[in-house]
Amino acid sequence: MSEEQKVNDSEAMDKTVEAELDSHAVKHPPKPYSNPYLVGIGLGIVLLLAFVIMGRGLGASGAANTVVSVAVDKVAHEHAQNNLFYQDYLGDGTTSPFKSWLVFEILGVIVGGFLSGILAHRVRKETGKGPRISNKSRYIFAVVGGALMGIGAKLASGCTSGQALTGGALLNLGSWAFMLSVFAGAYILAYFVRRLWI
Amino acid sequence: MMLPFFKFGMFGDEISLVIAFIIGIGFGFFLERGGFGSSKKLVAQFYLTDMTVFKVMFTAIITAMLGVFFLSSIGLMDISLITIIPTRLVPQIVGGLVLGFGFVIGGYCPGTSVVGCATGKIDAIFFVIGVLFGAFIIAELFPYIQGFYNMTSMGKVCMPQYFNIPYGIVVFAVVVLAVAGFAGATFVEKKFANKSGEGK
Amino acid sequence: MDFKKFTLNQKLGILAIFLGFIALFMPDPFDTHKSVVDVNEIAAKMNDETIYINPTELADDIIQGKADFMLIDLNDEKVFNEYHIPFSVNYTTEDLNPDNIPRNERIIIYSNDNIKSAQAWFLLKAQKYRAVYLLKGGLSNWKECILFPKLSEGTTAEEKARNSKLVEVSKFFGGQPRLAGIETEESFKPKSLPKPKIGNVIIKRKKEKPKREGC
Repeated sequence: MSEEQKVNDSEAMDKTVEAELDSHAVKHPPKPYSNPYLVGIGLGIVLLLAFVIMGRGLGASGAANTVVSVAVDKVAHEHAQNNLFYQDYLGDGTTSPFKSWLVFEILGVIVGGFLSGILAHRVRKETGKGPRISNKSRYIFAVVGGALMGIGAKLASGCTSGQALTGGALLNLGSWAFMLSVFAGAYILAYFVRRLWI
Repeated sequence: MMLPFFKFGMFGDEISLVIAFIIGIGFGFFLERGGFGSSKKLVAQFYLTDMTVFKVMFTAIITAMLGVFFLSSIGLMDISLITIIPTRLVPQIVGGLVLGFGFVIGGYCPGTSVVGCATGKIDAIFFVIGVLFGAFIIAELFPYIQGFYNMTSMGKVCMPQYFNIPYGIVVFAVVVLAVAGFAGATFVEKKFANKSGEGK
Repeated sequence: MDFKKFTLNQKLGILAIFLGFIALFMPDPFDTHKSVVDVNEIAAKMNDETIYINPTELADDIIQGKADFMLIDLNDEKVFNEYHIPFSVNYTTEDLNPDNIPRNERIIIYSNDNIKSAQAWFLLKAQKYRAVYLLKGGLSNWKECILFPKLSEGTTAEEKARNSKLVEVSKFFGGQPRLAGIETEESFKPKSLPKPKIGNVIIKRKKEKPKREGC
């Protein structure tokens, strides 16, 4: 086979694969989302199981803090050991910081999310954004938004999963104050960043 | 009284990690079921066209709240053994506002961004990077903001204790408010979805 | 009202409000100072030998630096300050509840006599604590066996080994062994009770840092 023929063949193959994926997507459009109240009950039962089995709730930001702490520890060990924040997540050195409940829980979240996505034909490469901005802009704002989240989550000792859901169910005073603030902050800023989404 | 199992020594740390993984699967599964893998859907909450975030969150809260209340009230569970995060009122409110800003700018929250990554959303990946970066920033600043961080520190306090209202009454009030909220949310959705021509 | 005509969501809403309504009449979940006691179970446990721990066992656990138990001293403050077993905490019977006492550790109780510790044992068992133990013979037995052990003549190798172990343990806790034959019951003058070595810690208690349970 000449070089040209090989290239043509591989291009043809790419096209067939693409066509197959497209037709799969057409034959299996993403399923509509489930009844939010039923989803909420399911989520609530998962949370309740965490309470009943472990005596603790769910979380997410703690896992991110752990990852950052380990990374900084690898790169600047002395500095990490002397910092209050990193110390907390690194532990006393007897066990790996990754043997943390939240880290394992987040690994499960990846699997569970993927599983539900597959079943509902919602796993696809895409970027959620409004029609008025480019993908690139969206990515930049995603990083900015994420950074704000990372900061706010430590200030509040948690994010929506840990504080709002968990603390909310336990009628924790700080958690409810936090929850109201999150909604307030988001609604206040929504108008000003509407170009991102609508 | 033997709940929570772990706090009564029924199993050790290794098994608790396995349980964490399994519970995580359930968590991620239902988050995706509700559509929280999509930043557009999440943010629609704040443009009043899709109130799913509110509906799912508060349904989950009242479900777990009722479960905890009834199990403890009849003596099957020792509620005092459930980990409660101590309240630091002002920093938590500030953190909440910052988080709210991040939510509507970034389109995700930490838990849902993981689900987004798992279902192929590229913006979710950038969001996660942002979260790690933000955690790094606050970690470096942390030793210098201790005064602020520990302001209005009230320890572990729940609303029934703080407002001196019986637990059961607070539970009832929360349920009623939530259900009223759901009715209101559905009304708002219909109104704004029609206006903007954008459905779910 | 035709119940069937309600949508699923409406039914869920009604269910939620119904459950919330029931909550108004239920007992306070934090009301854990009231307890239902299984009388038969506790009565049987009282006759079980396994609820006792020997002073030698406890001494070994302390020497090895084990930290999986809480040691409670029920004597009053004055007696506690004179002497208490290292790493013990001083509580009264009113303090014996989940606010102070963890549920997932072994709880070992002692007092000078056997009465206070027996009362404490019952109070904790009534609150469904699973692992509650009494120091056999109380503090007096601890002094007798650990601080001021009576050494035997020490003729056989076995006896010599036993004696040296007793001496070792006694010295560890700052006590003083009673040599056989040399000192009679009457002539034994124990030196003053040792201050429990908590400041200059020879024993390193391997207390695990409590696991993060935040989010």
